[in-house]
Amino acid sequence: MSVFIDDDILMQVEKPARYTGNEWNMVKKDPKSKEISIRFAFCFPDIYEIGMSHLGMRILYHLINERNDTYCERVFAPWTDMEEIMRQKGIPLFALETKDPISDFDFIGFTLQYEMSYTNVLNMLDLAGIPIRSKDRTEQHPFVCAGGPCACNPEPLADIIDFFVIGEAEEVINEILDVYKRWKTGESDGITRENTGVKEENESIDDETNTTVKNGQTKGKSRESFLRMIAKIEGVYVPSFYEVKYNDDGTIKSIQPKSNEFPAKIRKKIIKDLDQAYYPEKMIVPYINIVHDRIILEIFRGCTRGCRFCQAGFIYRPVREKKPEKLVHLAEKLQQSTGYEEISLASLSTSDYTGLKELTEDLINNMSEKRVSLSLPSLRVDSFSLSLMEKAQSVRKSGLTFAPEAGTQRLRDVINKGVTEEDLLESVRIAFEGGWSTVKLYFMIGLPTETLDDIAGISELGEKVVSAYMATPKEKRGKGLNVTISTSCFVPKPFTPFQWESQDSIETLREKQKYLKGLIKSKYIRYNWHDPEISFLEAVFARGDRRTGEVLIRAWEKGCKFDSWGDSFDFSKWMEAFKECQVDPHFYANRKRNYDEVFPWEHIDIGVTKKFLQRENEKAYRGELTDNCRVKCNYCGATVFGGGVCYE
Amino acid sequence: MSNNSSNNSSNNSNNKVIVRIHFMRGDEVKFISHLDIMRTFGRAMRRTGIPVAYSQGFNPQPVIVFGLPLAVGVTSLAEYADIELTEAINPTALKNALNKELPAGLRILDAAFINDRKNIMSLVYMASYEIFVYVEKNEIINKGEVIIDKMNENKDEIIYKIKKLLRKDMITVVKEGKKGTKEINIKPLIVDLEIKFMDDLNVIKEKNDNRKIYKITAMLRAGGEANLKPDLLISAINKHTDLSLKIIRIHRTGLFINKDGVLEKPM
Ligand code: SF4
Repeated sequence: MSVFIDDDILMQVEKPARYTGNEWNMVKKDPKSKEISIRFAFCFPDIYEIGMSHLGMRILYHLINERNDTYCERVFAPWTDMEEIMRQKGIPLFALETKDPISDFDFIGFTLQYEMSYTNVLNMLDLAGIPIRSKDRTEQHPFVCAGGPCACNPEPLADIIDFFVIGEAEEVINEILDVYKRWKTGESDGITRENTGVKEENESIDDETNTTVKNGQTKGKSRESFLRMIAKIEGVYVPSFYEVKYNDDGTIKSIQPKSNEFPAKIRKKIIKDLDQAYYPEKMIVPYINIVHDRIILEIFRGCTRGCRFCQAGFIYRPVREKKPEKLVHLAEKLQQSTGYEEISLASLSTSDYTGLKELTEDLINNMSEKRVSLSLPSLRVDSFSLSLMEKAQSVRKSGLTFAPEAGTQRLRDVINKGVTEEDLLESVRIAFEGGWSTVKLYFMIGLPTETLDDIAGISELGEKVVSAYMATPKEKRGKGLNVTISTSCFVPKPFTPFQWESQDSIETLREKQKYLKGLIKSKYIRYNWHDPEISFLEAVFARGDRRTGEVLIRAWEKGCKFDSWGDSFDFSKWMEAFKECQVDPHFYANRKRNYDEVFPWEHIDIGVTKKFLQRENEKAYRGELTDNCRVKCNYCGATVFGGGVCYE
Repeated sequence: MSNNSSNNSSNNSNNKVIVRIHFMRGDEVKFISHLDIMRTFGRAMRRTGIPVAYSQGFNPQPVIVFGLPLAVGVTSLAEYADIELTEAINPTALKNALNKELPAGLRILDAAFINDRKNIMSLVYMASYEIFVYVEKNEIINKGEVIIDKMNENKDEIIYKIKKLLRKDMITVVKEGKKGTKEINIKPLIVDLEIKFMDDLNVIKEKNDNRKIYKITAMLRAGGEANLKPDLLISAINKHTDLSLKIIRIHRTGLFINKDGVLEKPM
């Protein structure tokens, strides 16, 4: 039975269309029909406008709905005004398509895009009436799974999520749903084992898991039996089947499967050939403005550059491109099905796309008569890209973004940001001569080896940008120079060359921000900085182990949610939670690890090897650059996937 | 009241092809704001591939001028818009094509060429509404007495009080505008008003025995010159009587334009 939401309620909340669904291209199916045997709630742990902007969600929603036996529906975190009313009136969390409570579904799938959304995962489970901890769920509850970039260190959520999908879910998800259907209709475990190629029968499940089997009411249908079946699919990680042992100093001693029927290492799944991979020809067109309210065309996955702080640059390796012809065709289809007025190219670094010129020329030709504009994010600024942007009509002459990340050449070399000051100033000059006058510069503070000179370098670079403007002839440059310097705080992430590094303390980060603020004198420069408290928590949970999961639960119990939304972030509650759980956050955020330390994510195989990352870490300290994959292979380990740039 | 921006100018220039559409907004889309509905129409037009005229400037949009914004939560049988085309397309074909591309709850009922010099927005003069309201029954019991309205022989206290209020010359409300709040007299904006007790109804999905429900049928001034929104009317009644009417739903039933002094339907 779907939930009933009185008009009264919707009249009281901000943006009621977040909760009403029925958008153009929404998939409609009859969940009561015989065909539908699986119901999947795709959950994004943030509000509608953010979740709907997410490309992965858009792809997987339509991909799962391609199946006749499954209805995939969307769920977003209700904003606090709506949540309050829902709790008051006892309205459980429901899916947008049917308004059915998701506690009746077969699967609840979360996408984990940033650590600070974890409390929303808990809150959404609770609002749905589903126990927070996996071990408290019974046969009547859905399976709770998760994927996305943060799942590369799944451990903070190990006690909460039943299973994770590591890597790209497009293929794995179908395998899982196939197994589920067999499991649900009572086909025996053995059959699937043959299918998944695991022959030996293993009885050595330990006592703890055995209890779960006994509790299973329906014959052979215990939750555990299903999880055992899927644990053998490549890319699937069932945390309850793994045991973590600790050393006396609190570091991890070992992470091992409880039975040898489960893989010791869980290798991420990738789509080898993106041109062959599913990509929807339809996308939901929301009524309300969302963050990325346009057609999103994914041009490639991965990044060849290898900036040493950037997790995305390593976990999505190897780089795999889509062919321009394929993309032009897709753009056409998507434009027809959505009526969108803008197309945006999505990737980690648009300029590195080998077919950029061909693709953009074709897109601009095809789309201009339809008055569809092209937006080109993360484009390196040079004369080619500037003329492109003018043609694409997508950038108002008001804002260009540069990300030198560090203030001096020395530090840029440490992080392998292959951009020189000359490159940057040349780009800025071209931009000013082209009439641009607003420039945003992004930096990171707290990077390994950083000194106050590097901080001073940020302000000097800002001043040089101002001088470049002043040196541009008046008749060429745009009016009203506006330079914004933004600094985020460095967060060491798993599977990067900096995974061993400590994060600067909150106090140090504040001091550095203050120091930089004092140095910036020009009236043309505005300075923005990130809250180091949030970055500190990110650093804890990015590299957290299972023990940090209790802290998440405690913080949520104290009312933490929407932590990435400044106004609802309460740092003191978080610190109380750490204390009450006797977990020292500094152990995770501010401790430098030895090369031989066992990481909480040691059992996850992302392709890139620990050895390669260590080499990169050592090179960082020597200030040595590493070429990008197209210039020369650096033997990172991603060849194991048998595709992409490594084989071009 | 005329708006000078290129796509909203109050004049439909002579040589342009304008199709006026009459459409409804059902429950499915009643929580979508006016701005979002405009964007929805723009995208639906793009999907049809019909040669629509585009506005100038950085973000070209199909030129569609809407009659009168509808507040969030309100349904309507009487929405109108003018669509400018670059070549003449059979209005019925346009209607059918657009209906295929509109989400559930938005439906074109009629479409026709018009050659008004002025666009729909600048012509709107009046709108009619059905407003369903309720009072809590115990509230009525507490107040006790049943008053006999001599003029209308109406034994219902609520109806009596509202009718009595409407006989006044001044009914002031505080209206929040862009430049702060100001007090206005809405009496001249109420063209006509009927109120009726509803004993049986299906206007609400949730049955609640403690509610006494009334249907107010009102003809109110609308448009750029003078405009009274139905929810403001209800708060005015609550302000000037001891009633506390609560709105269940509002439905727009008609929109009327002033064409050289004559009131008529837009098409
Ligand atoms: S194996 Fe070589 S080419 Fe492939 S991703 Fe790694 S460094 Fe790049």
